[in-house]
Amino acid sequence: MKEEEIRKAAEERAREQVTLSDKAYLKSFGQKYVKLIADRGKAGEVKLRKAWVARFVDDERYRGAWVEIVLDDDGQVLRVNQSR
Amino acid sequence: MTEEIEKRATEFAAKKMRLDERRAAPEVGERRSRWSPGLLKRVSDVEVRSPEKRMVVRIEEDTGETVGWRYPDVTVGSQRVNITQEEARRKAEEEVDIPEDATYESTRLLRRGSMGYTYSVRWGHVLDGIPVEGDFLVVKINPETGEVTSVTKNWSVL
Repeated sequence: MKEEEIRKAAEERAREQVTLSDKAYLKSFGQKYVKLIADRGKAGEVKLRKAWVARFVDDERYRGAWVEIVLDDDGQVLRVNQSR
Repeated sequence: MTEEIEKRATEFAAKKMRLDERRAAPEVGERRSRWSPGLLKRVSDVEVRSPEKRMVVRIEEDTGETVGWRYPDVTVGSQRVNITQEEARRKAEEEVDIPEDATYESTRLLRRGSMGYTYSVRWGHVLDGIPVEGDFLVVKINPETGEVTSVTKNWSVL
């Protein structure tokens, strides 16, 4: 997938997986090596993988609230994190 | 593994604190095992005491690698600032092995309450132009003496 397609997929997947208000916006988007582990909090093999990271800010939820979604080159979701 | 971790921490601290074997050998104090969210691995913080100093050495439990150390006592900060940001960076580069794929990010003078000021010199980890999430190297410098007071290294290997 092209970068623009992944950016679009990131927005769609984020809205599917977490609650984002209409005012939420994409704060940053780019490639990163991310660390993936089978069971967070337990010892195990850490895999470093090149991925796309999109970070959304949703001030409607509360000021500075964020959602981060990590996708592979095919637009598949590897991880979703959000602020509390 | 506990013994091995303590042994490695002691050896590292003895070398770093330039302890002479004719004097009292350093003693291992408290050891705390915890999850490192940056490394996604378990690390042990081992306290090592010599007659003059105390050091906390951070060991990655899986590999036994030293990933950080610090002097937990008052020497970390100072009320006086005798060296510049550039000198602090130079000092960090002289005293610490900076990995080849490190990218210099910043040198900041931080105020830590009653402990005074400290310089924080930071590098990020960039592979083929792509940043590595959660990886960094931070060297803290006492701004009065220029002494390195702590090193924290979260570094992944591809």
